[in-house]
Amino acid sequence: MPKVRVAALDEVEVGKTKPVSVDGHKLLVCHSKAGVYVIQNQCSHQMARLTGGKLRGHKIFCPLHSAPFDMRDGSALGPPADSPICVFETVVEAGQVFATLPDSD
Amino acid sequence: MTAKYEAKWPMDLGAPSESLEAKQPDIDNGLDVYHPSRYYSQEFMELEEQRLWPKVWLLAGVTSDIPEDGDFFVFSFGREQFIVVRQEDETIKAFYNVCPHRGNRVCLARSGSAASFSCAFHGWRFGIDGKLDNITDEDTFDPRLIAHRPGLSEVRCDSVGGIIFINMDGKAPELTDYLGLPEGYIEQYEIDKMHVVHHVRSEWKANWKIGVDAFYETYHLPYVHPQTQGVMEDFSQNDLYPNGASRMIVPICVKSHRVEDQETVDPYQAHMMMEAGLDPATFTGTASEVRAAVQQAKRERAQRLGLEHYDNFTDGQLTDSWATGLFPNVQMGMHPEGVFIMRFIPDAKDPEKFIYDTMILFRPVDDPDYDVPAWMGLPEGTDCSGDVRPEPIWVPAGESPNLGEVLDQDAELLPIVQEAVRSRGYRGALYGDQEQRVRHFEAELERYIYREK
Repeated sequence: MPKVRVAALDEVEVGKTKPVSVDGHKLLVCHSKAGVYVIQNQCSHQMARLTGGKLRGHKIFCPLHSAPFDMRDGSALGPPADSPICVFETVVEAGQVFATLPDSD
Repeated sequence: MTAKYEAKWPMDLGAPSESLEAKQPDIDNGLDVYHPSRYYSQEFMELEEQRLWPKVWLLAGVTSDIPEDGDFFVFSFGREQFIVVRQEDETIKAFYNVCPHRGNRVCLARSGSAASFSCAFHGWRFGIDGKLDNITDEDTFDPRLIAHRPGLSEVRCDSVGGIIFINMDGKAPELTDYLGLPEGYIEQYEIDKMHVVHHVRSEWKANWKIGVDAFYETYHLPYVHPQTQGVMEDFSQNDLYPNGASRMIVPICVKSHRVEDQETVDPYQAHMMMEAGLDPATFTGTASEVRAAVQQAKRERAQRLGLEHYDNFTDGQLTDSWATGLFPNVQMGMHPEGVFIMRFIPDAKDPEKFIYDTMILFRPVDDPDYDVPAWMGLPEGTDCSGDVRPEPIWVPAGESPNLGEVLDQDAELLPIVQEAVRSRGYRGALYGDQEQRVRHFEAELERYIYREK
């Protein structure tokens, strides 16, 4: 489970998201007022990218059909999603966002 | 210090006429006995669908649920759903939740925040202002068919004092005229600064009006909720306003006049004293002096905490419940600490079912001892910070809604009333003066059903 740098914090404004690709993982760095979260950039409802999804606290809403997810644990918070998304342990150190990703093999 | 009123019928708490607390002149709503089929027949339900619901302002939600642009919730009412969404200019718009293309629900979420709404059927996309953004493969449509750029169908939407209403046919009077309440009545509570801290939608096997009727009077308190006798007066001050609106002021922190011992402080009264920061052990007054003592304690606490909105309120408002009925299907228990909004929402198909939708709103105050009054039935450990908007809890028919002892007693009773009003031996309700709000509501309903409104 390597901890890898995924973005510089100043690349992601508060309230915005930034898609990144690391070791084959399609990730989304989400910077909400509540914190910074690195999540899988794919909705569990109809597999849309979550890029640009609105952030409210620890929630992200899929931009396609507004499926809500908790960015802390990935859980689906209501319809239309009924299964979770992957989220990754995230830390910010010296202005850099790191996430603990599963081994790619 | 004593309770500054005499518990006799008709109840009048004695506020001066310029006060919002003042007893209103009675309205003569006659003595009609309405046929009980209004509570169970499909025909009456259809009349309501055609002649009532489209014409009235329906309470859709609260502004604090959608503080930022793009924030939305879906309001379900019978067969209809509405998307209520905050606009970039901070106004609020509402749309039928239906795609103009093939009729699918455009929004499948219950609430959230969106930059646009995309239909899950063929991907048509609409802005939060309801305007058409994109038609998938538009070049495959004859331009004449879509020349009007079909957007979401808008429904009239307005708000007062933090509460959002919609009107389906667009022809209702202006919202504040329609509501019939004096100017500032709702606004004084500053509900826009309160947050939903608890939301339960429970299904009850009764007609929605059986619900309204029961909650519009305190005549049943000694029989259905005898435990309230130690802490609530059941003679309420009833006030009728235009257009079916009404209020009952229920004195709280007092013993019912039916209780002989007005000296000994009841344990429920003692609990309410503690909520207000008083120590019942050192209280030297009688039971009838508790209400004034609690009012004074709350006034002083508000000053200490800098809660300026308390200046809006009479002493009575600091303890009593101002149960305020908005025609046709809303009652709000209004308090300085918070507001209990109940909606009686008819089932989409079955006249003998309704959804009892209850939202408890609280204005967060940074003080560990300041809380929503316990009798409002908030579960232990509820987050009252306002940071978390809880998901509505759905309770199917037959299960206890866990709304607190008093409301659970109502939930148990009303399905039995529903069964009984169908009896061949029942001729229709006989309303006494303590039930004048019920008659006021039913008389207004008649005006809609018989097209006088």
